[in-house]
Amino acid sequence: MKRSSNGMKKTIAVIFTIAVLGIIGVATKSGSANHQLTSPSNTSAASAMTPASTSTNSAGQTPQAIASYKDGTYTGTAEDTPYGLVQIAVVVSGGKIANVNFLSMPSDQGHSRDVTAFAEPLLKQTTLSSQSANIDFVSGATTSSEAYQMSLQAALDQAQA
Amino acid sequence: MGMPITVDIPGCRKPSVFEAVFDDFRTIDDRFSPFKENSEVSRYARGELELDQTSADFRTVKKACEQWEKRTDGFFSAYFDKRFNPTGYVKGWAIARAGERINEQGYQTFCISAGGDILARGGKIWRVGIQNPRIPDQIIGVVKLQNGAVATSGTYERGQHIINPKTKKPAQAFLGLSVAGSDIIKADVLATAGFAAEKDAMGLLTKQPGYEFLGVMKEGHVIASSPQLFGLAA
Repeated sequence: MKRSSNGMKKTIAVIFTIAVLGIIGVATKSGSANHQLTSPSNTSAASAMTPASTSTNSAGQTPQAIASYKDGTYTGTAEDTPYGLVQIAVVVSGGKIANVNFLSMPSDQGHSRDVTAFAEPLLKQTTLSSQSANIDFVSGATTSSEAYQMSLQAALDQAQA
Repeated sequence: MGMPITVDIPGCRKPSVFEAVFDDFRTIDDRFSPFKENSEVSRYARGELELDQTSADFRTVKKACEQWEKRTDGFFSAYFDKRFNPTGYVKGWAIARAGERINEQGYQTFCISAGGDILARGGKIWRVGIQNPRIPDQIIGVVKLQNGAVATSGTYERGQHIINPKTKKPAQAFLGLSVAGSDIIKADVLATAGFAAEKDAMGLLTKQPGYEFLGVMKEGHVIASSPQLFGLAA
């Protein structure tokens, strides 16, 4: 049995769509003039890329054409990024950045650990109904009662009550 | 807590069990809500109560907040403008207590959703969608949760701010940050602290064995420590 603190009186129809994410870029303060990725064997190649949606990075460089990258995995030097000081490994597939792996720099106590960033939509389905997604619960920052009424959780509770 | 709560206990048909759980949440809200004039939190903040006059639960929560503040290098804090407001901690703590209450009532398998945090215990796998912080009726990932917790921090509701204690300004690097792990309190604290930490989040979040995270950055892309856990494997 399932009970909710909010009583639902109306049916809420919800269509799920997987968000389409923009192409990512990693900001860097390195000031390096050369942002070209060269070959997979060159592990010290500069790893800086600028977001396609902004016109310049902090060093005033213009964005590189994403399609010019050759497939492979590129490991960059340590960079100061919005995520802190990280080493970046970029995976290029089909001429596009498939994902970017951040190796967080070892701290005085910790060991480095992989974090992956995704530039492309992750789930290929474009539309999921709540039934086919078969979700039981939703985790999100919805806290107010009003927002709840419109929220996924309400729809799920309704659908499964 | 003024937050929506859903409790699912498979196989339980006794309304009294659910009443007991919701009663507990109400009691906790009466004690800890800063929006209730006569809550212990409000009275303590006004100086009407000394610490040794507060309830054992109040002191337990206050002490836990202080410990978590140290453990997160200050990124988790229950102090806002010098007033003690443990709302961020109490949510996870209340859920953990609710889980204990359900166990006491004789049920081992359940799932609780409260204020967007999820706790599951027992032998069932629950599919938990991660809400898209930009579009509330969409999901961006799915966690198959068994015997664990997922907590999400975000400020996508109007007027909400999580302040970065280092910059003293609203944290904006993340749109949403979800943490999954065994303990709901820890997941909740890490989601809150990581969100507040902004670019320092990786230093904190990548040092927690057994706790994985998924963050949506303000530029729109997603970062995850364990893409597979969140159903994101490319």
